[in-house]
Amino acid sequence: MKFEFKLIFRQKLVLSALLLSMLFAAIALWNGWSKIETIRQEINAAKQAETLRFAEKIQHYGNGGLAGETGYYVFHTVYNMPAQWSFISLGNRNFSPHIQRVRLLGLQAQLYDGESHNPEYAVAGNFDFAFVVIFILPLFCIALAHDLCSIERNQNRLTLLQSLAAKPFRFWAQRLLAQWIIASISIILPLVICTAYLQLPWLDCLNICLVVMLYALFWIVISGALSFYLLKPSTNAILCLNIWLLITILIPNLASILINQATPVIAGAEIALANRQKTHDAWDLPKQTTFDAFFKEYPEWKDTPAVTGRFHYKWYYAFQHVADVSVREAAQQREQALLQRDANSRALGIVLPSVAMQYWLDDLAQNNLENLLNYRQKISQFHRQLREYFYPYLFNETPFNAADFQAMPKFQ
Amino acid sequence: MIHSILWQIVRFEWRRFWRDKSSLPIALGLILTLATSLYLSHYQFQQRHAQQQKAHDISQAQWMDQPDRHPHRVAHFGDFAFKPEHILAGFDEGANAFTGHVLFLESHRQNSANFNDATESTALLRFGQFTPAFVLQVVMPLVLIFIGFAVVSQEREQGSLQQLVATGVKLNQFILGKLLALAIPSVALVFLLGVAGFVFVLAQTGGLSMDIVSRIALLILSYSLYLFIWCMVITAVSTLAKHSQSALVLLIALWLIFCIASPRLGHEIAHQLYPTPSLVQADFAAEAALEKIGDSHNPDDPHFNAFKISVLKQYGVEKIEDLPVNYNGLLMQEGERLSTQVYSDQHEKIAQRMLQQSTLVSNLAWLNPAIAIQQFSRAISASDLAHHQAFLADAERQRFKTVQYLNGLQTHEVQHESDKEQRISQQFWQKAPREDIVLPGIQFAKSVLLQSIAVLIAWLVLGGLLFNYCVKRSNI
Repeated sequence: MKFEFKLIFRQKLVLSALLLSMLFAAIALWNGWSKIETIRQEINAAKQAETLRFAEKIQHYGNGGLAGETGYYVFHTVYNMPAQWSFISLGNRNFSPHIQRVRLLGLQAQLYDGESHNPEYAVAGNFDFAFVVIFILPLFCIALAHDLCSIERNQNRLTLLQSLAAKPFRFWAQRLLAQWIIASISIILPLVICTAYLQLPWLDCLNICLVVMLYALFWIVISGALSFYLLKPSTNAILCLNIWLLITILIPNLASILINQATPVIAGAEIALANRQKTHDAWDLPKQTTFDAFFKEYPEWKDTPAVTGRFHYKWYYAFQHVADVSVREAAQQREQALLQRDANSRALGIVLPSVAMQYWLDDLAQNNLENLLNYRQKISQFHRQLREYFYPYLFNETPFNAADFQAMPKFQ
Repeated sequence: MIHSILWQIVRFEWRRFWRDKSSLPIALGLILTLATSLYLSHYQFQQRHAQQQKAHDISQAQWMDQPDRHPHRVAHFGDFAFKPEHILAGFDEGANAFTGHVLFLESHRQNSANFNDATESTALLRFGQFTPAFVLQVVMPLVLIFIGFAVVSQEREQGSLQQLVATGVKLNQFILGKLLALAIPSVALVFLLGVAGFVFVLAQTGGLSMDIVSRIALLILSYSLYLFIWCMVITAVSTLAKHSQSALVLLIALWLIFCIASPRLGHEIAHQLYPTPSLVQADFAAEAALEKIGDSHNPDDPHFNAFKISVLKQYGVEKIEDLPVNYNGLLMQEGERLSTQVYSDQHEKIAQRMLQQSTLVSNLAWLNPAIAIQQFSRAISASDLAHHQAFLADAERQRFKTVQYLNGLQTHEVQHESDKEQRISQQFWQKAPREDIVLPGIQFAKSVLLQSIAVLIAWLVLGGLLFNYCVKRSNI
């Protein structure tokens, strides 16, 4: 076994590939970490800015004025805080808004707001740990193992080696084992250092290491096994690279398009258009029509006096909510369709190790569609809390005081 | 005579490729990949286009069907701007999959372009985009490496190089022949695709505009250059390498760095140096700035009081009630002017930051022809950041125009007394100055195109020098 390692390290090319691979992993970890740190700082800064302005706001809005006005003008910061391991796979974190602001108006018109990412950056893709593991590690494995047997055959040592080894299977297995360990270490070592430095949970780190090693094993075994069947090492390298191209780029891409075709999703814009129409129609409808719809959801306010004037805030917020309710089903269907697409893509992981790996890392990092939809769910819940907090003030026409402002629900 | 020898070398190489067992799968695989990407990419483009068109039609109908209303009601009803896409986005989707395509235009606020496909996509998106542009930029060089890595080194390994030189064939001619054998089919493929593009556009639109002809011609030119550079690199490395296998390993490493790793790394560096501020931060800053300017609802506000005095003076009256126009409308116009300025200033900061990021990456293109071709291809296909920002700017202009038109209606068509109770005819919205946003011409991308093509030519020259050097240094 020691001899096998010596053999590997004697190859200058392999040694430089090992160093390059370690360097890539280290850069990826650092880059991911600093990106996530920036997001955390931005969220904290936004929270702080809100707290700082609280005193000023309470003075302005908490002096017995109309609750409706407070609801209209006061924004509440909502945010999607990264998880502990978010930095290993940046996923959709970079191009979904992580800080948004909502107010008492209809939610549908606010839920999708706030995109500001450089789209060219998103096209290029992230240089994160997941990228190095999924794309670069296999190439390193192929470089190590593609000439496992064929180089010996090419240099006419094969028969000699086979006859010398007491157990040929054990001989080849040992050689593959050495290559596997080296390939894995190139990724694991930077991760372990990173875990120690950032004081992250070791159990998670161990899990990541095991999964990464499993992924490396797949590539080592594939490229090693093929070298028994092919005459030239370069032919085997080309074959392995084609497999790599298929597994990590072409098939996932193709599948993605087919999966999206299979499950059509209503355009978000269509829902937005329907929602707007419903909201503004209310101005031209009898107020009772709006209230009838609203009281179906909130019968407790049925007995408050009818609105006879041109405008009343309770009517205003009632129609905002009614418009939300009118597209609720469409929005839910849209979410279901998105989840269906995600489930189908995840199922592809059963056959494609690259996809399985990506999903596994995205799950741990919580930078996936599920996280985005959960976050939207949390915003909806908060918006509901906010509405239900305000309804007594609106329907009972209670003045809004400093204490009421203070007691407003807060996100999380 | 000399040329005929060169031609014979080229033809001999092709014949050998033709007889090779692995050639057919490689050629078929490439054609299949390219055809699939063309079909799927165009299909997706069409679907996106249909979706946009549908939303556009709904939006148009909703706007036109508005009943008699108060103009400020209409300003809050708002309008939608739809991002236009060039037909070539079906060839190079570029940043379009990652940008919002719909922007809601309303008074008082500048919204973000929402509903980009990427935010809500599955994890499969991390594997990149499967477009014809991607196949030509990334897959094609790899295929060329597979075909060509042993083009010279094999001759040396087998000893046939010595024999050839002994028969009087000049080494540089021989290697040039090998290069041409690799390059001619690659360039021919690009030309073929270009011609197919012309035919396709002709069939789709029934005619060829100057715009599309020049765009496709430039695409043919740039991709030919790009692939030719790769052919030179491959032949040079194969000439220099002792063994075919080391040539292969080196070329794969170069491909990995040029096509896969460095475009990502380039953007990461740009983002580390110039982080994008979040939109919420910008809005915070804008609100703080607006509060400083003044509050139009506050009767004692210095800015709006001064405005009132200037308006009264202009019309030569004492009281707001005596004005021949509706003061509320004027106030709205002034407020919109101020808030637009403040928001635009803040959003301009984000736009500038993104331009800084992209400029850095396009400067990195001097080190990497793969980045240069990416930039060129996206700029030609109108699917880069600059085109998106142009859309955002156009949409903002459109928003301001529409809102001020409506505020003008409030000023001139609505009485000041019991302002909010009044409605004016729906004909006014139907006559509103709303235009669809259109793509800028090819001139818009001039600087990017010039820079990228300069990079490609520089690499061509560099490649030529490298090639020359390798030929001179190589021994038999």
